Amino acid sequence: MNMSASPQNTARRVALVGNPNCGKTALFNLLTGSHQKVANYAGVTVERKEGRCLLPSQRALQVLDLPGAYSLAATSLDEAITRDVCLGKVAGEAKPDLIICVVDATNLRLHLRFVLELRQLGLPMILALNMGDAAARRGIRIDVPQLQRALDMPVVETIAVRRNGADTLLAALDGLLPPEPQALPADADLHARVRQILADCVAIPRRTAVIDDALDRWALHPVWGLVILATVMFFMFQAVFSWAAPVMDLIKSLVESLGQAVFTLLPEGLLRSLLIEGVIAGAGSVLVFLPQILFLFLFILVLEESGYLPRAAFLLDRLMVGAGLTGRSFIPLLSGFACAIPGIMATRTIQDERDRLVTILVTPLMTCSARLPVYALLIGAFIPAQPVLGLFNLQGLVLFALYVAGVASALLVAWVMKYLRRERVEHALLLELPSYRLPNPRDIAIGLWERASIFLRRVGTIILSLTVLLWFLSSFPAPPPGALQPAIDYSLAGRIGHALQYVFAPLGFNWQICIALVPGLAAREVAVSALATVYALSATSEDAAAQLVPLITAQWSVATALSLLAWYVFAPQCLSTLAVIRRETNSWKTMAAATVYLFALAYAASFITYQIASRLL
Amino acid sequence: MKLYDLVQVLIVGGAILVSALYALGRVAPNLRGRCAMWLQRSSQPLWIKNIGKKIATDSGGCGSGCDTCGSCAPKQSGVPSQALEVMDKAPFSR
Repeated sequence: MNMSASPQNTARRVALVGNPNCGKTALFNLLTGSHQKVANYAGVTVERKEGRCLLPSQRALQVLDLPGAYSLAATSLDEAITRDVCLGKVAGEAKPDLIICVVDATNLRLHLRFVLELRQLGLPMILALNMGDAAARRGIRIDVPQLQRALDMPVVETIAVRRNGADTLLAALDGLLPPEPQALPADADLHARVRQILADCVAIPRRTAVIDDALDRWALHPVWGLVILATVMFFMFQAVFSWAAPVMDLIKSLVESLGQAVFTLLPEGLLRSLLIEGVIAGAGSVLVFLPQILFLFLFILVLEESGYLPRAAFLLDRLMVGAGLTGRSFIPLLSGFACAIPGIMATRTIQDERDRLVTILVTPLMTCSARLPVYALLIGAFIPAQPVLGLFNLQGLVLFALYVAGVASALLVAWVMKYLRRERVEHALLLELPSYRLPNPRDIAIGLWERASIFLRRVGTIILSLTVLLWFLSSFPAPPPGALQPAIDYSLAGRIGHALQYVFAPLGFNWQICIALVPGLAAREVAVSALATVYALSATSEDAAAQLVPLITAQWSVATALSLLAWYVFAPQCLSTLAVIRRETNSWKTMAAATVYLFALAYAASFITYQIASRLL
Repeated sequence: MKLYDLVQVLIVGGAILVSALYALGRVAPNLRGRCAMWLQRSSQPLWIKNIGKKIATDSGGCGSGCDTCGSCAPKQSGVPSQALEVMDKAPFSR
C-alpha cells in the first residue's frame, strides 16, 4: 500500500486503540520498554499511558496506550477516555497523528467492527494483527494483502509477547504516514461488513479453541467450577504460609545478625537506640514478610495471565448479583487483593454508576497485601503450625478464613446497600471470556520484581520514616529521675497510647496496640513496625530487635489477638485508599461515609470477637 | 560534650527531621505541592529551586500525590487530566 507524505511526519503521536484484551498494553510495553500491567482479561488498562519509542531510523515516537473499548459510543469511564483522546476532546491535547488499531487475530469477528467504526475518525490508521501465533495454532488463516484492501489501511502482523514481535510495525511506523482510510457511509451495517470481510479474507476452522472448550466444561460447571475455584484459593493460602517459611527464617536471622552487629559496634546512646529499636526492629520486622507477599502475588499473576479470572467472575455472578453487585465488580474486587487503590480505579469499567459506587465502597474490605504482614505476625504468634486432617496447615486455614471474612463482609455490606436503596433492577453480565494461555515466565518475573520493588520502596520510605518518628515520640521526653516504669511510659507516644486505651479497652487492646494504630493509618504494615519499636523500647533485653513474636505471645491474650485480627479485616487503616475514594467519586461525603462505616464495622467486629473469645478461651 | 555525642545528636536529629518532612509530604500532598511552588519562585537561589523541583515531581501512582501506597496503582502517564465523565453517547451525528 502506498504511503503519502505528510507534514506531521516530524513529530508523530500514535495511539494504540482496540477492543479490550487484544494486547495493546503488551505492545505498548514492547514498543516503549515500559512495564505496565498486562493480564489475560478485559479491563486491565483504565487510563491512558504515554511512552516514547525509538524507531529504526532513530526518530522518536510518542506512543499512547488507551483503555480497551468496544465502540466510540462510550458506555463506561474507561471507554470515554479512549473516545475523548481519539476525537481530540481532551483539553490541550490534539488528536493523535496515527491510530494503530490492535486486533486479536483469533477474535476478528468481534474486533474488526471497531476498526471499521474508527475509520470514521478521518485519521491515518495501521492495523496491528496481534496474536498471530495463537491464530496459526488454531488453524486460522488470514489473507493479509486481501485484508489490507478490504480495510483500506496497512496491515502488519505483531506478536506482542515476543522480543522482536513488533519489528514489522516499527518498520511501518518509520515510513511515511499512510493515507486516511475512506470513511464508511453513516448508515453502513458494520456487522454485515465484518461478515463480508471475514468471508473474503479469513479462514476460521472453528470459532473457539478445542482446549478452551474442554477446560471450560469443568471450569464453568455450576458445581465443579465452584469446587475448582475454592480449591485454587485454598491451595494459594496454604502455600503462602508453607512455602515462604524458609526464606522468611533466613531474612529474620539476617535482621537479627544486623541488630547484634550494631549493638556490638556502637556504644550505648541515642544513635544505637534509633538504629536497633527504631530502624532494625521496626523496618526489619516488616521486611521479613517479603517472601509471603511474593508467593501471594505469584499465584495472583499466574491466575491473571492464564485467563481463569473472568471464568471465576462468571461463576460468581449469581452470588454477586444476589449481594447487590454485578459480575463486573469481580475484577475490581480481585484487584483489591493486591491493593485497594487499583481496585477502586478498576471500577471505571463498570457502566452503571450505582454499581460502581457500591463496588468502590466495598473494595477496601478485600484483604490487600498490606494486611498480610499484620495477619502473618498474629497468626504466627498465636496459631500453632499444626496439621489439620493430616493435609492442611492450621495457620494457612486461619489465613484463608480471614480472606473469606473480607469477601463475605464485602458481599454483606453490598447487600445492605442494595436493600437500603430498594433497587430491584439487575444488570446482566456481559463479559468476554479470553482464551486460556500459559503464563509467560518473563511477565511473571517482571510482575514479581515490580511487587518486590513496591514493597521494598514502602519499607524504605513511608514505613521507615514513620518508624523513626515513632521511635522519637516513644523516647522523648525522658523519664523523670527515679522513675520505676519503662521509659516509654513517660514518653509522648506512651501517654497517647494510655489515653487511647480508654476507647479501645473494650476491644482488649493494650496501650502498645493503641500506639501502633495511629501511624498504621498511613500504611497498614507500619502497625507491625510500630509494635516492634514500642516493644523493643519497653524491653530490657539487648537483642530486643528480634523478639516481637515471643513478647506479644507472652503479653497478649488469644482474645486480644483475635480482636486485632477482626479490626484489621474491616478498619480503613490506609489514607491513600480514602484519598482515592474521594478522587474517583469526586465527593468528600462519600469518602466520609466510607470512613465512618468501615471504622464502625471494625469496632463492632473487634468488640464482639473479644467479648466472645475472652469468655470461651 | 564529647565529639561522639555531638555527632550522634546531629545524625539522630537529621534523621528525625528528614522523616518528619517526608511523612508530612506523603500524608499531605497538597501542602507539599504548595511548598514546592514556593521553593521554585524565581527569586530563590538555584539550589533551593532544585529542591523544590525534586519534591514537586515525586508523586503517587494513582495521581493523588500522597504515595503512601508505594505506587500500588498504575503509573500515571504524561498528561494527568482525563475526562472522567461520560460526555455524550453518540460521537458522530448520523
